[in-house]
Parts: sequence; C-alpha cells; structure tokens
Amino acid sequence: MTRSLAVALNALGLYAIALVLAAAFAAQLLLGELPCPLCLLQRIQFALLAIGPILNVRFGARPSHYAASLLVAAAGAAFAMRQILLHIMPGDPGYGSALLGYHYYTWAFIGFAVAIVATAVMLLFDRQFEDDGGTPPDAAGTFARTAVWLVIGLTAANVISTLLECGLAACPADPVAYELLKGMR
Amino acid sequence: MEFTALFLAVTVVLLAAWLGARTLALALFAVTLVACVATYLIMPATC
Repeated sequence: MTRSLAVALNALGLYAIALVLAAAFAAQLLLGELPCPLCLLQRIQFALLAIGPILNVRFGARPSHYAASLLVAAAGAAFAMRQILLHIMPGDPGYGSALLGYHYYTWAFIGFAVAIVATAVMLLFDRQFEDDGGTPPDAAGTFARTAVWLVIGLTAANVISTLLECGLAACPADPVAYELLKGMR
Repeated sequence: MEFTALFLAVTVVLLAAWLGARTLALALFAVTLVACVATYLIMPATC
C-alpha cells in the first residue's frame, strides 16, 4: 500500500466518522432522541477517533497515529458495552428507540469494533510508512481536506447542541428537553 | 456541562491536529482521552 493510497483510505475513514456523527444528529433533531450522558460520551469517542486519520492525512501515515485511534476505539467500545450491560436484563426495554433491531449503543459498540478491526488491518501494510518520494504529506487533496473539515464542523456543532441540551449544570440522566432553552423561557 | 467541555476539547484537539504542531496535538489528545475516561469512571451507572 502506497502512502497516497493510505491517505485516501484515511480520508474515507473520516467520511465514515462524519456519517456516524451526522446520523446521531439526525436521530436527535428529526426523531427527538436526546442523547443521555453515556450516549454523549460515546459520541465524543467517535469524534476523537478522527485524530489518527487527520494526523495521517496531514503528516503521512505513522503507527503512532493509528495507535491513538485504537486507544479511542477501545475506550468507546468499553463505554458502549457498559450501556449494553445496563440494559441486558430480560424485560428491560433499553434506552431510546431501536434501529434495525438494535439500540444506538449496540450500534456504537459495533462501530467501535469495526474501527478497531479496520485500524489493525491498516497497520498490516508496512509500505505506507516508507517515504516513497511521492506526494508530500502536507499536500492533501480536496477529498481529504473536505473530510477533515466535515468532522471538525460536526464536532463543533455538537459543542452547541450539548450546551443547549445540558445547559450549565450536570447533564440529566434521562434528558427530555433542552435545558438551556428551558432556562431562557 | 462536562460533556460540552469534552466536545470543545475534542474540537480543539482536531483543530490542533490539522493546523498545529504534531506534538501539541498528541499531547492535547492524551489529556482529552484521560478526561473522557475519568468522566466515565465518576459518572453514575444510569441511562
């Protein structure tokens, strides 16, 4: 795998992260599914997962960049697993609605597991870490630059939505309304 | 409020990774990841 192919695949990974963040926003805004604290923590891990691909696009692929994303994915999987276990008892309806038979936190666990496997597969290809004299790392194309700004933009939008949802106090365990908007009325 | 701060921290980390020095981005990333794990460990077992 060449350096440029690795950068392109990392950009694709960024688009996948953007898709997850956009889907979470869609569930929140269109279906009125306000994320609970544990859900927010998983969403934060999805955004932080972008650190590896962004560094790979900017500076070229390095094992340490992939390692950073692996650490985040492992933490995210642990957070999602905790929420799955909280609702594992028979008769427990789970938190929020289900999508294709699984709750969002189950999908989150699957997403983090996929991220771990995909990152491990990327680490198998040693040639991406060699300097082949090709495209300099800083010369990322429009495809990659758009992916980076998309993820950063969606993460920044989450700052605003979380502020609206939780307000200036601790986030409620089962949020039903935007706390900051309630305070303004 | 802590989740707003964490999202803000992640935004800063990603901006540092894209626009700033690599060492700074990795240092900020480490601090943010530790903050996430710490938040997870102290939060109540609900939701």
